[in-house]
This record gives sequence, structure tokens and C-alpha cells, in this order.
Amino acid sequence: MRKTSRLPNLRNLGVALRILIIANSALILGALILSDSMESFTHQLTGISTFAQPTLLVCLFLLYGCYHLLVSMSYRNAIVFIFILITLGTAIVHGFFSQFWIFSDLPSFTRIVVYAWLMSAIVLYYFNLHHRAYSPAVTEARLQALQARIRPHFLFNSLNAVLSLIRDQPKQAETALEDMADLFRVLMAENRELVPIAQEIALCRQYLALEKLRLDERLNVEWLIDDVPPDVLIPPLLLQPLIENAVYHGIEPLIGGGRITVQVYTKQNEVHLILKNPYTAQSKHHNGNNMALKNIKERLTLHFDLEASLKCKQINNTYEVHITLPNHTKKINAQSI
Amino acid sequence: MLNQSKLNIVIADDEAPARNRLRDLLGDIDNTHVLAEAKNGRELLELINLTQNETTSADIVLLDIRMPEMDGIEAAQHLQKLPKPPAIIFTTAYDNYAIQAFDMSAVDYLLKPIRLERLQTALQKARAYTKST
Repeated sequence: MRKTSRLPNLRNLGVALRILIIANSALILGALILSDSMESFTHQLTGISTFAQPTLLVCLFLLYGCYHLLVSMSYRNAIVFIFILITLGTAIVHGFFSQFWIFSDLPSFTRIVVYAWLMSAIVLYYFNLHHRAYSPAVTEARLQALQARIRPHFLFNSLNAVLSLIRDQPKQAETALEDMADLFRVLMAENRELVPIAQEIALCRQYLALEKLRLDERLNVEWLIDDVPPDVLIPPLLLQPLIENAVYHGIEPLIGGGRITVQVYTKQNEVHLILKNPYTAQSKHHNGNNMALKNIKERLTLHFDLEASLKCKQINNTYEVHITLPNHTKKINAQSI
Repeated sequence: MLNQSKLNIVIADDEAPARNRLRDLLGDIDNTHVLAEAKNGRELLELINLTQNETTSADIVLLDIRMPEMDGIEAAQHLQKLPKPPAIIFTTAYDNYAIQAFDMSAVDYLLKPIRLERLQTALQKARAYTKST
């Protein structure tokens, strides 16, 4: 989720993972420099790791625990506080190990603390750079550039369908125009804030009602929604472009039409969205499809970093898109924005 | 449009509302008669082949481009090989097919939603074309 604070979200899995990777890369590098053979390298690495890994984990844990406190401080104070926490973490592990240390000479506390500080400085510098690259201004600009665009093909065909209804079925034409108005209001809005999933699903239903008008019995849609909290937050227009692709590439090329299945469920702390549509060899022009998928992937990264994913696969005659999102509801969102 | 013979028209479009819309518009234009409707290119070719030797054969085909089974471009290629090809008027929602369509020596190219006046002009052109052949 986008933050205004320059500190990384220390409770984000992706952030913790990056800290671990950076620190362990530094450990491996250190061990490499200190050793002259493969054997001494493994020896060095195990030597360093015995002490370094617990320190790293304890420090991460402390940072996790104090994250709310850190966010409320100014950046400068937070940095000072982080260094205090790191010192504390190192001291705890050092104190603990000094009682049971049996391997070799216990490294001096000063040496370890200096290492820990150095490591923290590198990590903080990395996140500072990362923050500048993904600053709210940059993220907003990118999100704006990534705004989903509807196919002109759909707009004109739908208008044509509505025109055909006006003479004989004016009531249906009214509903169709109302659906179009709602759809285009969302499409033309600045879609940068997360929206409740219920809102996105309602939009998709309106979109599908319009497509149903054109395609009639050729279009079948199955919704499988397993008690998903309606206020789960997702990026706007996450599902609609995917359904539009499914209609365009999966249903329209089939003379007898086909079925689109949309499945939404929550599992542990994740929301899963699965979309299935018939796959036809005829629809080779998958460029538009890839564009939409790339767009959605990038928006997911901007909103959720490593916590969200999008995977596509083709099994026999079915094309499947699977999106995984963290289960965020309004409350958490309000805290972190 | 006085003293003009009736134009026999075939509508080819995979979407029912689009076919209805054309039918409505043609109902507003004198001297036109909707001979038949087809839901894709293959259906259209079968229809045209059936009526080729009859007295009332199709003069004009209003042909959608994006259709399942056989698209409008391919159907037009086949139609042109006939001894007495009907005049082709493409109808499409979006104009990224325009160049391809012109290669098919179509009489006209209409963008959906189609206006009555625009359809009338296209039919005039087609009438001139059918007279010349």
C-alpha cells in the first residue's frame, strides 16, 4: 500500500524478504573476502551465520513490533530509534550467546554492533532510494498512465446495440444507457485509490449486462463468490479489463459462444480471483490481452509490492488468470495512507 | 429515388442487435428489401450460393468484419470470385480494418453506429455499381 512515510513498511513480507536478502548477500560477500578456499568459505559462512542470523531475526522482530511507533516519528528520529533497536537486538543476542557460546571465541560486542549498524545503514539507504523511485508522486503518475482503457470496439458496438433497442424495447435501452453511464464514469475517473471488491464486482455485472445485450445466448457467465467480505480493497478496474479480454478473445470468436467463470474466495490472509474462459486457437492477436495483463500486474505491484501476484495459464481449451491479493479492508487502509 | 427497382439486401452480422438496427434503418429507406440475414461469413456464403441462380439474388451485402467462424474480409474474398458478385458494404464498429477493407474493392465502408443518411449514400453508390456490372 502506498505510504507517505519515507520508512519502508516493516510489516510487509516483501520488505522483510528484501532486508534478509541484502543482509545475507553481505554475509556471503564478507565470508568470500575472508576466505581463500571453498572449505574455509563454508567454515567462515557457518561461523558468521550462527551469530548473524539470530541477530538479524531478533532485529527484524523488534522492528516489526515497533513499526507503529516508528511511523509516528519524524524520519530522522525514526532512524535514530532504529539504530537503538538494532543495538538492543544485538545486545540481546550477544548476551544470550555469551552464556552458551561453545564454538570458538565469541566476537566482541563492539565488532558485532558495528557490523549491525553498517548493515542497517545499507538497508536504510536502499529503502530510501527505493522510496524515491516509488514516491507517491511517481507512483501516482504511473498509476495514472496505467489507467485501464476500454476497447473502442466495445463502446461503438454497445452504442449500436442500444440504438437497436430504442424503437422496440425502450425500457431495456434505458437500462443499457444507465449501465454505460456508470461504466464510463468509473473508466474516466482518476482510479488511483483502492475500492471495495463489491463495487468492482457490481461494475463487472453492469459491463456483462451490456455484453449480454450484444452476444445474447452466446455469453454465459458463472459467478462463484465464496463469502468474501464485501469491503476487501482491490485496485479499481482490476477485474473488468480481464473480463473484457475474456469476452473479446474467448467468447466472440466462438460461433456457439461459451462460458466465463469468475471465482472469488479468501484463504487465510489472501484474496484469490480466478477467471476462466474458453481458449481458441483462432484468437491469435493476443497483443491486446498481454497489454492488459502487464498493466494489471504493474498496478498490483505499485499497490501491494510482493504481496500480490498474477498468473496465467492455458489448460487444454481453457485460459485461466489467477490473481492473489493481500486481504486488506478499510481499517488497515486508513492507517497506512 | 423514384422509378428505382428494389434492392435486394443481405445482412451479415454476428450480433442480433446490429442486424435489427440495420433492418430498422432499411425499413426507413424506400425500394429496399432485406432478402436474408446471416450470422457469420460461412452462413452468408451458403445463402448467396443458394440464391445465385434464382431471380431474386442479392444485390448488396451489408457485411460486418469481426465475426466468428469466418470473418467479413475472408467472406468478401470468396464473394468476389462469384460470376455475379453482389456489391459489398462493410459495416464495422472500429476502423482499424479500413485498409484491408479497401483492398477488397468494397463499395463503401460504414462505421457503427450507422446513420440513416450515411447508409442511403452507401446504397446509392452500390446501386451505381450494380448497374455498371
